[in-house]
Amino acid sequence: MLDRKNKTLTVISIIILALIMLPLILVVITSFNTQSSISLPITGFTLSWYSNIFQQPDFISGFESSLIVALIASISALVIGIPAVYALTRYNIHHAAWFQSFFLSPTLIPEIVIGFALYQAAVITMRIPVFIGLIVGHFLLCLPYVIRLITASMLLMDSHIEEAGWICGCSRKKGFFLIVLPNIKASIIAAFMMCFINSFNNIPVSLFMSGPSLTMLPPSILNYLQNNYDPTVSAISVLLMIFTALMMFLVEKAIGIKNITE
Amino acid sequence: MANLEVQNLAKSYDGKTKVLKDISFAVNNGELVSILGPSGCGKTTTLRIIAGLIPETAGQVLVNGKDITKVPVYKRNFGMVFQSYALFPHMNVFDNVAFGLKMRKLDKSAIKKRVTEMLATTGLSQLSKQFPAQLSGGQQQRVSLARALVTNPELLLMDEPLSNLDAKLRLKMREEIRDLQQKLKMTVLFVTHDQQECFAISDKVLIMKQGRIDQFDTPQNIFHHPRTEYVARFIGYDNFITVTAANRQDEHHIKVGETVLNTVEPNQDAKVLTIRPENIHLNLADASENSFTGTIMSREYLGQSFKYAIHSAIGDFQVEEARQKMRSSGEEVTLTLPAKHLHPLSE
Ligand SMILES: Nc1ncnc2c1ncn2[C@@H]1O[C@H](COP(=O)(O)OP(=O)(O)OP(=O)(O)O)[C@@H](O)[C@H]1O
Ligand SMILES: [Mg+2]
Repeated sequence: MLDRKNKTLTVISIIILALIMLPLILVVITSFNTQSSISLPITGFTLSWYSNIFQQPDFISGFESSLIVALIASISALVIGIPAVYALTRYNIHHAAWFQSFFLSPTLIPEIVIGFALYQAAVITMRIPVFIGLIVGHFLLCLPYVIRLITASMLLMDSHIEEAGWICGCSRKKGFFLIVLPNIKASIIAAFMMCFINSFNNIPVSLFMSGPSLTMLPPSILNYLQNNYDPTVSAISVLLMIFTALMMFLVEKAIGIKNITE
Repeated sequence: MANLEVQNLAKSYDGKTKVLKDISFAVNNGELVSILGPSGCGKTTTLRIIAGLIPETAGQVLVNGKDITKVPVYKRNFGMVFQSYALFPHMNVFDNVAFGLKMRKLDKSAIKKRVTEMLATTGLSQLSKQFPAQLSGGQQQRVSLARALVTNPELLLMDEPLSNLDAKLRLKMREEIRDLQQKLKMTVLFVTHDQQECFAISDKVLIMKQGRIDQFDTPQNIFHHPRTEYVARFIGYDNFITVTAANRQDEHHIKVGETVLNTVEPNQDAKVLTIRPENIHLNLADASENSFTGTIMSREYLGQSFKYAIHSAIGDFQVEEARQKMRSSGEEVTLTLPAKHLHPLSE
C-alpha cells in the first residue's frame, strides 16, 4: 500500500520536475544552435550567440544596473524589514496586525501599477531621479518577502532564548546581533534570495523607470526580442541561470549553515 | 551570593486586573526558597519582575539592601533557568556556558578555565562540543544550570526547571540542584507547582494564591500548621469540617453535631477544622476522645495504603490506612481524629 503510494508520488514528482526542467533544457539547447532563429531541432553547434551578447551595450549596462539595483533593494529591504519585524513581534505594539498588513500590502497591488504610480508620483511630479525611483520601486517589491519570511522564523524562535542572553549580561541591542540574528539566519538568506531574484528579473516596475542612460536587463532583453528573434536571448538566459545559481551558492557559502556542521 | 527582599510588589499587564497584589517576602543569603501555587497564580510573573525581564507596576526589589528595581536586566548579575531551558541553539555547550563570561569581557584563558570547571561540576565535560539540539532534556537542563551559575550570580532564579523531565530524572535533578545549592551556598528562588518537589528541597516555601502570598514558612511548619484552608488543600489535607462561632464551647472544644471535638491548638475565630487523611484512625481500641461512627462508601488502592471515603453524621471524610487491613464498603467504623492533628483554621 505504502509502496504504491510512494510510486505514485515518484511519478508525479518526475512529471512536475520535467515540466519545470524541459523549457530550461530547450533554452540551453537552442542557445547553441547555428540557425538564426529560436527553433528545434538544432542544425549545428556554435558559441556565436554567446559572443553576440557582449556586442550589445544594452545588455552589458542593463546587467550592471540590474545587479546594482537588485543588491541595493534587497539589502535595504532586509535592513529596514528585519528591525520592523523584530519590533512587531517582540514589543507590545498597538495595531501590530495593521502594521503587518501595511508592510505586506505591495503584494496586493499589481506590480505594473506600482511602477506606473511611482513613475507618475516620484519621477514626473516630484522630479526624483529615475535611479532613486527604481530603487524605491524594487524595495517595495522586496519588502513583503522579508516581512513574511522573517516574521515566520521570529515567531518560531523561543523568546526565552533572547531573555536568557540578557540575563547573562547582554544588552538588548547586543542580543539582537548575537542571539536573534544568528537564529533567523536561514530565513534571512531565503529572504535575500527571494528579493534578489525577484528584483533582478522584474519587468513591470523597471519598464517605467528607464531613461536614456538607464535600462535594466529584463526590459533590454524584451526590447532585443522585439527586433531580433535569434538565439542570443537563449544564450543570455543560460548565462543568467548560471549567474543566479552561482550567486545563491556564494551567499549560502558566505553566511550559510557552517555553524551547524562545525 | 546575596539576600533578596521584595517589597509590596504589584503587577498588572493590562492596567485593569492585578495579577500580583502586594507581594512582600525576603530570601536570606544561601537559602533556597520555593514559590508554590496553582497555574496562573502569578509565580512566573513574580520571578520575571525580580529578574528585570518585565517592569513592576508598584513595589521594590532589593538585593543586599540596595534597590535594584530600575536596574536593567543585563546589569543585575542574576542567573536564570527557564522551563524550556532556552539554550542558544547556534552555540555549542562550551559557548553557551561561556556566553555570560564573554559579556563580562574576561580574557580567553580565564573563560576557558572557568567554563571547564563549571562543566566538570555539572558533569558535562564530555559534551562541551555538542549543540543543544543533540542533547537530552536532562543534559540541556544541566547546561542551562551551568550557564546560569558560571558568572557567580547574586541570585539564581528557576522557573519550573524540572517540569519537562520524566519522573525519575526529576527526582535525581532536584537532589543535584539541592546539593549544588548547598555546596555553592547559593541564594535560589525556585518556582514550581509540584508540592512534593518543593517541600523536599526548600528551606522555605512561599504559597501563592491569586497574586497574594497565603503562607511563607518552612516546609515543616507549613505541613503541620497550614494557615488557611487553601494552603491545607494544596498540601494534602483532604478533610474539612466547617464550624461557626456557635459551635465553639471554649478555647479547645468545638461541638459539631452531637460530637465534641477537642483541639490542641486554640480555636478562636476558627472557621474550619482540618486533618490529613493519614492521621485519622479507624476502630481504635480505646476510641473515646474525638470519636464518632461512620460508614465506608468506597475504597481506593494507593499501593502502600488504602484510601476510604467515609460518610458520617459530621460529614464526609477521606481516610488513609495501611494496607494490611482491607475494609469493604458498607462497613461501619469508628473514626478517631487525634486532637493534636486536628487544626483549626481561621481562613
Ligand atoms: N504577558 C502577559 N500578558 C498578559 N497577561 C499575562 C501575561 N503573562 C501572564 N499573564 C497573566 O498573569 C497571570 C499570572 O500568570 P503567571 O504566568 O505569572 O502564572 P504562573 O503562576 O506562572 O502559572 P503557571 O503555573 O501556569 O506557569 C495569569 O492570569 C496570566 O493569564
Ligand atoms: Mg509559570
